[in-house]
Amino acid sequence: MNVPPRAIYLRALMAELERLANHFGDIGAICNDAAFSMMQAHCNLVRERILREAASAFGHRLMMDRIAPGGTVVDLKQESAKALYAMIEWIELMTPRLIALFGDTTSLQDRTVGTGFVSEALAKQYACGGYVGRASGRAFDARKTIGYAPYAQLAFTIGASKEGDVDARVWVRFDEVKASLQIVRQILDDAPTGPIIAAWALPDDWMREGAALIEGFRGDIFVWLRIRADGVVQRCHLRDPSWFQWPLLEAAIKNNIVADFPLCNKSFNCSYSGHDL
Amino acid sequence: MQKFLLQGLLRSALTEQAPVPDAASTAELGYTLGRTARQKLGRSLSIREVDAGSCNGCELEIHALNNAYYDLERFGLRFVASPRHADVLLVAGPVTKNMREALERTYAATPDPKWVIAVGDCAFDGGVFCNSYACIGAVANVVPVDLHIRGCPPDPTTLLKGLIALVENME
Repeated sequence: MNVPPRAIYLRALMAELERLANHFGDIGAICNDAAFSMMQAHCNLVRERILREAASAFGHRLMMDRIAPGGTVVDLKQESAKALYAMIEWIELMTPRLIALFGDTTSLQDRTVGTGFVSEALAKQYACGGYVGRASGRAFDARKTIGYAPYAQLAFTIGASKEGDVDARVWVRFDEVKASLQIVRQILDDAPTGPIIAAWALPDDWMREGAALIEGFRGDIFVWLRIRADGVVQRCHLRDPSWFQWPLLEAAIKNNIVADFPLCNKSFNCSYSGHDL
Repeated sequence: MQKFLLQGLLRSALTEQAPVPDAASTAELGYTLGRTARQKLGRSLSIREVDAGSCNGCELEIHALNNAYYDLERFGLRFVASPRHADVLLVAGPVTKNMREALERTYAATPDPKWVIAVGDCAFDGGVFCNSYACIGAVANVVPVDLHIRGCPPDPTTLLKGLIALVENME
């Protein structure tokens, strides 16, 4: 099956829009758990605008069911691309303001700095990905290390820190926001034209299986799948990034006051529905 | 911080007009609240969100109700952290077998008068998880449901329409 180049770029565009929306949601929610609700109010405005633009460009706020075997089911229209450019410009304007609001509020820093520490050794031992791993000295990002299409063609810098506290996990998210903004711009500039979905057929005599690793907003998501010759999914294993992050939360909350538990927990934002797939 | 505070004072509110509830929701509710209960509750309802095995898509959109555009609290509706404080249970998910008892106990812990709103296609009939060996399916199979809000997930405007329908039927 050959997925058309345009579909590969559109898939990445959707992934980055989702990453942006979720990171803004997280940054706001972490600050809200330190009773700084103003940050959440403003971050959620950014998140809501992204979801609305996603709905108008792709027909679904969370962009569910937009990717199909062989490509994508919706193309990006010229006017939607224009609207996304305008949105990216606005987010590029808002991001430094939100960074200043976070970084310059000393009472907030007092809650986040040094809270919920995860050591580099533990992050490495658990092969922890995403912002949790990258805030504790790990450099793994499936977009870089595997560099699956189209990310090998795109220039962006991933966030990194060795501090390992709640504060570091917020800063890594801000770095990832900047990276996603860079990526979205490049995709809008360079996305090839052409078809968005390729025709395909199941091989009629034997089963197929395959595995994939991609970078979701929480970290690397692993999928293994086996399809029977009649098209039925016979076996499937989905490994959410939270698998390697939940156990570390236990280490992060050690020696912290009870009031800081929500802060530690939100800085991880592990998946509640995906951890036991 | 001063810049944000100043903007807040000078700019007009971002909150949007309330949507008009669908006739279908009003019809499904089909009753009005008794005079005594109305006097006690007024238009103010406390909502407990219950994840009965949802993929969390519904939760993301339920969270969005709290942002400045939808501002759920202007209708007197607010989320609470315990069913004992709640008037309304907002249940999402195809009710997994593991969550059945939790849902039943949550319902039992909610004081009367109470309402149950099933949110999302999974809560309506199991959705994509319909007939799964791990799921019971519709929320209505486990607890009595007063209103269904369909969608996968329903967007915040659709959720707001359903909740407003509930508040308006109380009058």
